[in-house]
Amino acid sequence: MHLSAIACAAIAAPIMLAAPVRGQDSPPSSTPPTQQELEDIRRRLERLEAQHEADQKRIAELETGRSGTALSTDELRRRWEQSWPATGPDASPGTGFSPQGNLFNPAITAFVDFGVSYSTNEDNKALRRFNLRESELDVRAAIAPFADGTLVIAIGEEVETEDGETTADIEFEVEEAYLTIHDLPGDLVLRGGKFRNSFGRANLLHTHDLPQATRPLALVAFFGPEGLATIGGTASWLVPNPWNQYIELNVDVVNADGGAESPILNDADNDNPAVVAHLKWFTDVGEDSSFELGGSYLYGHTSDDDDFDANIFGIDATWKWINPKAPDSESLLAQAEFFWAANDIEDSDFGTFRNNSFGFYAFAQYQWLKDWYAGVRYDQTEFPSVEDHAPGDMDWAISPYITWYPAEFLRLRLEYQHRDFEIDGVGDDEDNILFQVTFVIGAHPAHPYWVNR
Amino acid sequence: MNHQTCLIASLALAAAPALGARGEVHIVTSTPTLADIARQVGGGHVSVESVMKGPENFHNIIAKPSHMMRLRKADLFIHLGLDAEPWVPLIIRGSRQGHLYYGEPGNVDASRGIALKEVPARGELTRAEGDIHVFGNPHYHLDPLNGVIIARTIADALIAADSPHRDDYEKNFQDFAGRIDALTTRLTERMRAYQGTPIAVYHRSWPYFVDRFGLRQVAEVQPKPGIEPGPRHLSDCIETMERAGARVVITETFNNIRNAEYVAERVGGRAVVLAHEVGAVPEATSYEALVEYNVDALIEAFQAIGATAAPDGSTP
Repeated sequence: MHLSAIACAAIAAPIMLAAPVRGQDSPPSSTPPTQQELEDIRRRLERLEAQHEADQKRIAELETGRSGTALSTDELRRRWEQSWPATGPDASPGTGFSPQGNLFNPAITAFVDFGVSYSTNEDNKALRRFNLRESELDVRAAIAPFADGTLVIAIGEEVETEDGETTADIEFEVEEAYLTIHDLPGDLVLRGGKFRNSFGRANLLHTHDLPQATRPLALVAFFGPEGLATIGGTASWLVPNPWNQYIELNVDVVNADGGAESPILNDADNDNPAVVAHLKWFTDVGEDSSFELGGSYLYGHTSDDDDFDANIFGIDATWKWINPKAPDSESLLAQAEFFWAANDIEDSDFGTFRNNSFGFYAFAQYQWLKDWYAGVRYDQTEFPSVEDHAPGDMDWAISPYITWYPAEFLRLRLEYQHRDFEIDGVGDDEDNILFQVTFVIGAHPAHPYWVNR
Repeated sequence: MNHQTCLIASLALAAAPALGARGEVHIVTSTPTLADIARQVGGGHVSVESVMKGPENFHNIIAKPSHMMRLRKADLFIHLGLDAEPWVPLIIRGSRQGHLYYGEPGNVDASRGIALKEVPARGELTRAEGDIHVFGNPHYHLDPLNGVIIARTIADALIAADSPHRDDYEKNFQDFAGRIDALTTRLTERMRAYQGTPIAVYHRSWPYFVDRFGLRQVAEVQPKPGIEPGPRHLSDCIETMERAGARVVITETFNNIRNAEYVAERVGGRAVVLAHEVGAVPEATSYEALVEYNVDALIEAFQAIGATAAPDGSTP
């Protein structure tokens, strides 16, 4: 191979060099062509003409696409734009690229949720003023082909009354900051960092995503005003089943401190992680409805003493109907969630005991026009913590509300709440009116199905 | 040469998703229109299902876990691409099927090669313009000739996934393209009498259709895409239509028909519900039927109100 290549080059070089020299040397022939030579030229011309004709035909075939061979998309488009020119003034070629909402910069969204409220309870200062409620900065992007990053910073107004004095402070909080790894064997998805923990349905929602102006009372009583969102890791697994149903198991292992405001798990000294698990089943019911059933369990410790257990059980059910004839403008949603806690408590007033407490909420919401929703929620709860409450204290509330979306990214909501509550065994009630304005700035990703408008 | 062929073949094998035991390519599409075109191009070698149902609005589908379960069985997932279907990334991710992710061979973006209209300039990219589309108007499938480009994209994806049946896919595509060519020629001929006729639309879904058949869109019932009209905009819309001599309002099944009818009534015209998807109306049983139904319904409306070509004979 090697040798023959060198030999070829050696032979070719002198010929190539010699050729032009020889051409220059030979004088132009002046003798007229013979009959035979003319005949040869004529034949060659005929052959070339025939070839040219065939080529032209082939080109025409390719151009009109009648040859039966495949045409590329570009060729097709050229052809049709010529035969039926697109008449729009602003036609331009598609990129064929589906966006994820960012060009290396992350998708950045800001949510602003504010309002004004009034309470008949003069001690409820938080509801007798304009409220900044909560603003959120949501930043997310792919980190790698197999990983996504999310950061949610919440800026909220905390109105607190202590010893008859009310203060309103702006507080910053890292509400969520997590890495999601999504291409793992067995279709596992892992998440690490700070995130809203996998307990039930309402706990997953950010304040501005709630279907009502307030969080369910039971959720607040069991997990604090912002719900349960602590730091740790979670694994999500789709449970294979012979019925091809969507069954998802989430298991979180997280810090057992739910933050200072968590009624349980509020002890940062605690070095035992808590385990939160949620199993859910989602199914379509007929053509127009869907149903989801979930069960949740939390195991942790109420103090840094291993003997003080926190056990919380939850059941959630959601049913949604969408009118198939008016899918954008008529729907019905019903959701209920039950909480039961069996917590070991040591308290100077009540001693050491296991506090069994129960809570639930249920709401129904009807949409009768594209942008209009109305619903009512019923709340009832006991308290797993005895910090501000005596065992057996109970709150209940009923809250009708109406929601209007003047545009996709602007929402107005008016809610009335009648609330009946006990604090340390003393009962009282209040009537509240809340007006809520929520808007979204920036690249808003589509909502997962568990966020309802 | 042989090495190369081998390499290409093995690459193709590695890239192609393993076909199910059925031996057919299982295709899931975002919309029923894409499903119908995929069925026609795939013929007997494919099984096809759509996530969305005909009367639904592809902007507003909720990404449900049951949709994710459907994608788990898919060899190919075909969608409209661009930013038409904000729920699509969620069901792709939720399916946990790597071969359907963006950029993978199982993920077929039907917008490839389409000449997009209404591509906003950078300065127009603001929510003050309503629910605008960053990459251009995504309702491109309503021009039948774009249907052929979609079919070509689907044929290419099928050939890559199932090369043994290349010839069948090619033939099916050529047949489909031929049918659509003939249909478009015939329908264009029928619409010739209404060249330049001014019309109004409810939502900005129809520029591809309107341009293909030589109509002239002069007003929109929605003040901006996705924003429902208030009384003031409705009266503006009526005034614009009257000035332009437009008396037909095109709407979709999911819009507020009362607004469309109110406007049409005030200009002494008609609101006509066209098929935005295969299955959106009972008559739209296939892609060809959808296109034909839309032209039929429009001509019927024009005839009912006695419309003819634009008085000044202008074309758009």
